[in-house]
Amino acid sequence: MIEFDGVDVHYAKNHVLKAVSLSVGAGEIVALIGANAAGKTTTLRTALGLKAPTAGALRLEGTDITKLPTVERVRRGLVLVPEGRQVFVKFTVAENLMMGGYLRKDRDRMQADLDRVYALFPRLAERRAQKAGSMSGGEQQMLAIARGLMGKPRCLVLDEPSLGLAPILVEEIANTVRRLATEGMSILLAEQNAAMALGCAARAYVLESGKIVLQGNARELESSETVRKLYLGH
Amino acid sequence: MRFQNRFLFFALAVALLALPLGVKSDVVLTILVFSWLQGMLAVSFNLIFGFTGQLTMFHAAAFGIAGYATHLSMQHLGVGYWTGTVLAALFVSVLSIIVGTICFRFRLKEFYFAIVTLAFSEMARLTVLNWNSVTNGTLGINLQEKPWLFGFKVNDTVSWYYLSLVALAVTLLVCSRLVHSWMGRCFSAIRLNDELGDTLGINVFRYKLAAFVAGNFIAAVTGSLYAYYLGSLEPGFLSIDQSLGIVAMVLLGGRSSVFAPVVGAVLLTALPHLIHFSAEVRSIVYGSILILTILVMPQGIYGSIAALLRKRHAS
Repeated sequence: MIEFDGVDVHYAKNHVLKAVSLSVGAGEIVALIGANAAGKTTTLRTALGLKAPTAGALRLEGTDITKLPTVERVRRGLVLVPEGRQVFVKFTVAENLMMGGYLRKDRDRMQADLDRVYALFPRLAERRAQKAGSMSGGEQQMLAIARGLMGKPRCLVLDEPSLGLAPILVEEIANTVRRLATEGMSILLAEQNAAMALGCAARAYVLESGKIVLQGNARELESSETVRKLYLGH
Repeated sequence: MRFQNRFLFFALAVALLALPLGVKSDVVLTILVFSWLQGMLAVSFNLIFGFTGQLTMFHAAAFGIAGYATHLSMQHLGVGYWTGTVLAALFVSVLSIIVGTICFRFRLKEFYFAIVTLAFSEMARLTVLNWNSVTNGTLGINLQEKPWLFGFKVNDTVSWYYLSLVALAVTLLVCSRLVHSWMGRCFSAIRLNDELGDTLGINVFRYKLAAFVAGNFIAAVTGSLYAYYLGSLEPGFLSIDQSLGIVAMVLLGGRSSVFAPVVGAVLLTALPHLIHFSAEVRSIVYGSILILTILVMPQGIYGSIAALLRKRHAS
């Protein structure tokens, strides 16, 4: 679905991503784990075209999108749910969701999709007229994911959805991610919470100082010495 | 609530339309004409500031340039007042596209955006001030012509009252249509979180520019009306004081609704005439009222009253 081919990214003189190659297949959940400042967010921002790579290529369903602006990538079904429960705090839940469908041609007929998303997140349905800023952190994260779904993504890119959430909510988000994948959506999941990410994903990449240092089957990585020591803490 | 609002607005509109029948005082009507025109300025400024979140200091320039541009196109192209106004507004739009493109391409925000637009505004003022052969410099220009409308010459205060009232109403209507459309929703999204807007694929640059041009276009039309009502033009039209005055109106009235800035415009236009003090004391009283209101009602007068009514309605 999405593919990174030897991607380099610089912030001024800082070499932030070094020859990153990774891929996510159709309907596959792929985790990208790593510590703070390992380059996870940069990887995702590069995927969306919010940051331009200095070398390498990006492909979406086989087509080269390296030079494509964000708008075009979103149109082609690549949607990012950014880090830190980013919602429009003064918009209501419903208005936030509608912004997620902004690029769609049929954006004046979104009711069916709103209903679908409300069915997936019943708590959002109860709060549809409430201001997003007045909701709890977990609800805001749900809203951010739900807003992503309104764009009818084929590939959903999630940046640290578990950040700062209670374990029970982390579990809820993990379940949602799994459910979306069974419906055929490809998911790239960047997480510091390796346990959660490896629990969802089929495959995983480990990012360290901008380089992919480990990759493979999530089950195998879960039991590998380095991952257990550095990221799972046991 | 909605119905009550509609009814209230309808009653207000009727009252304002009937007002000159009862109020014969030229002073009162003159103050109201200025209030409506300042109201247009404040509403158009709020489109850029209150809704899209960009603190522009270019408003005085858009307002002042348009007066000169209308006069020059009438003089040199031989067109009538209304065509001149349209040409002036288009000219200001082109300038806004240039200034806006520079600011938004370089992603200038908040304070930086304010300073750079202020610099452009000053550039325009100094050009007007020093280009004697065209603008007559400090002395300014006397405008003898008056606009014609449906075969009537807009000459006396009552006809100006109606013209400015209708112009304000059209401004309010257009702006309220705009902010309740998808475009308006994007304006607000940009104000609240423009990076998130980028992420969702909203063309932040294009919408910022659209708001900037639309606001300046209305300011230009206002400037043209204002100059021809006053009957004169001078470089002071483009001064920082003008822009700051507009900011004060919007903060005083409130920035979260289309209509709110009009409240501030009316108060700040009428207030100096209502406070009968010597000039030095007047400035202090005027300034204190402004500061106090902003401290006590950060949402502005209109915003605070609306919030109060909502609360009462809810309980």
